[in-house]
Amino acid sequence: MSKTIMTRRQALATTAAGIGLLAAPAIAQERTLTILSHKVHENVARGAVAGTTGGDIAGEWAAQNGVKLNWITADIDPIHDRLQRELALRQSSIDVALIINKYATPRLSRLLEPLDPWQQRAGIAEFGGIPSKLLDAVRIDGNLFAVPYRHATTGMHYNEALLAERGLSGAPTSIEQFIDYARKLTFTRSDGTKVNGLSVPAGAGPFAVLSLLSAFGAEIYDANLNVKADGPGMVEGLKTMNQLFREGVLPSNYATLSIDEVITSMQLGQSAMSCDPFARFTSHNDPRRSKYPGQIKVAPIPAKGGGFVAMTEIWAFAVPKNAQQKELSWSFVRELSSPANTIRAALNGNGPVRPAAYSDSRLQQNLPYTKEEAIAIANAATLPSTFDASAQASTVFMEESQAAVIGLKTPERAAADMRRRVEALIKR
Amino acid sequence: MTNRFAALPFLAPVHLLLFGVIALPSLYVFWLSLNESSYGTDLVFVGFENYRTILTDPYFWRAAWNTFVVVNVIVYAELLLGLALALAFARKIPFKPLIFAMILVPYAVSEVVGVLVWKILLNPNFGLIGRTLADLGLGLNWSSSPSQGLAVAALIGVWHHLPFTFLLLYAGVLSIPQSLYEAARIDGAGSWQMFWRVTLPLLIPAILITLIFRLVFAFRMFSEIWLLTKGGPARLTEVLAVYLYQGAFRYADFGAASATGWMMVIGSLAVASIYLFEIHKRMVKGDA
Repeated sequence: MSKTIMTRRQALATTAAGIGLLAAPAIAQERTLTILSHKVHENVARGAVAGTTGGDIAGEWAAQNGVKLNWITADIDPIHDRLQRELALRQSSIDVALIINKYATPRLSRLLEPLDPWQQRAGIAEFGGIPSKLLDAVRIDGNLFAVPYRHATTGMHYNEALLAERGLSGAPTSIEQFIDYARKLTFTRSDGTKVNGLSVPAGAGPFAVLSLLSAFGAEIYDANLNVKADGPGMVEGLKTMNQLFREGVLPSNYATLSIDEVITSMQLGQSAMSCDPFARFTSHNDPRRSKYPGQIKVAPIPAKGGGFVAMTEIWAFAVPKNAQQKELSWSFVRELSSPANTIRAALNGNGPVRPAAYSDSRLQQNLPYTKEEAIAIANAATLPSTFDASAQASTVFMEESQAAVIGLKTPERAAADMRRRVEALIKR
Repeated sequence: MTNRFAALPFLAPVHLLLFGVIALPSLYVFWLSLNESSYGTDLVFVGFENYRTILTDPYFWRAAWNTFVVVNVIVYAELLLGLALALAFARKIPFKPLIFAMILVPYAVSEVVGVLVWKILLNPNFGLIGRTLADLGLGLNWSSSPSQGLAVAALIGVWHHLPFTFLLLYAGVLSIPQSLYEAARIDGAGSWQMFWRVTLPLLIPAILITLIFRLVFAFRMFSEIWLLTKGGPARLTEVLAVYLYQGAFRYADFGAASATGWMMVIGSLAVASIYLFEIHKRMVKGDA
């Protein structure tokens, strides 16, 4: 009678095989979808911020499809750096990425999955509800390579309490009145607080400053890449901002002002007005942080000669060409882009890319600025990114406009240099 | 001779490691600097075109000048302060352990956190220092004035790295035999003469090592400028590391960024070379 003895190696192998068999159903069932985005996108898709009412849209889709969501979040530049590194690989670990339109260049678009065929095969509901202006920002050579998900459109925020203190009321209705208000609102309060009439996050990016300058008719370049940076609107706008800086209406640290610094100064009443996206309304009126909850309102920026101006930045869903689960990626994009979920995400604080969402009663009840934002977005412009050096062109605008505003260059010289440098980038 | 060969297998792993983590990537970066390179595109060999591009770019030269000025200010200010502190600590001072710990604290603080805290403190609207100075009529304007921006960056650099310089110099001061001071004192030397004739000559090797380390490290200065001014206003406070970062990670121009990297290596070697030659001379003589 032979006696069978299990060796240590056999025991280990049997244990490993057993664990593998036990784990197999779970592994087979659970798929992971990796999303690369800014934290704000995860928050609005999952209703992660306290007090929002849109619910966990992404979580519901994940539960229905047996998918685990792996959300990788970072700031704007690192997101796009990571994405471009992933796109250069043979296979990407990213299934869906949220890209901002200033990075939506021809070079990037070539590495992303063309989405027209997916839309034809299993389309997003009521796709026509997304304005063509937003879709054009993520279309190159007629090919759609991303689906707009969020917009950040600039508006004019103003502190009603400080306005009242200076004998003013209501939002300014013309650019001249806006400048006049900014001057009158530059003062020292009885408690010693020095108030700047106007703040703009000039150190953070071009959009808020460009919004203000566009009120004078300024433009860097148009959709056909004709450079117009030295136009009379730009020169007049830069001259006015330079005067405001010299008079102390704009803060002395104008050139490095970050988004957070502008928000804080509005919350503390150190700035009476600011140009920033509409969504800052929530932060400005946050009762835990703001000295003026409910008193900081927002309205569209009035333009010279009537009407309104705004700049808008668009975040859009993209699928890497080298992604491994494109069916799943598209299913996720389609679900989050539906009309109903656009409203739910807006209730979570997202800027809805479908104008119809602004008619929703829940949204109107929760966000008192929906009417004003709808006006702003109807007048909003995007900065085209149809050439590879478009991010550099934005930086050139920031450099030259800063130089003019703080007096390192004359407005004429800065505008002329801006034109020359941007033209060189477009021709490159 | 046999012993020298016998030591080779023991040294080889270290050399392989250095080759793998320093030499090989450096050579690859040099190869990249000879190519046009970006995400998702094949390398295109362009020879020294990237070097020509950056060397004819006025922003590169401004960044190089800013780097040269700030690095020298930081390193020599640290040297003077570090030396003064080391000499003070060599004497009997009250609360020595406490003051020693206080001097070392900045080195324990993350560079990013340190710079951001300084930025908040110096904010002219709500910063403790910035606001106080403004109320006293001495308002700093570091975000609009390039020279003030660079000065603040240098100040933060000195604050953060002074402990390193101090520690190296303090170790050097402690290693000087007390018998030399006793002999000098017997010969009638005063404090000043003892410093010039005993302390300083014997501290030269430690000073040289400190200078080389700090010059090379400071040449890579990035976070102070990036977090404070992002190189602005109008790129007037940009330093070479920021110039490189913008090229590589914002504009994805890896060829020019690699060329900038190599120019930084050459630049830092050029600045440190005087001290490297001096230390080499002393090593040959057996003085270091």
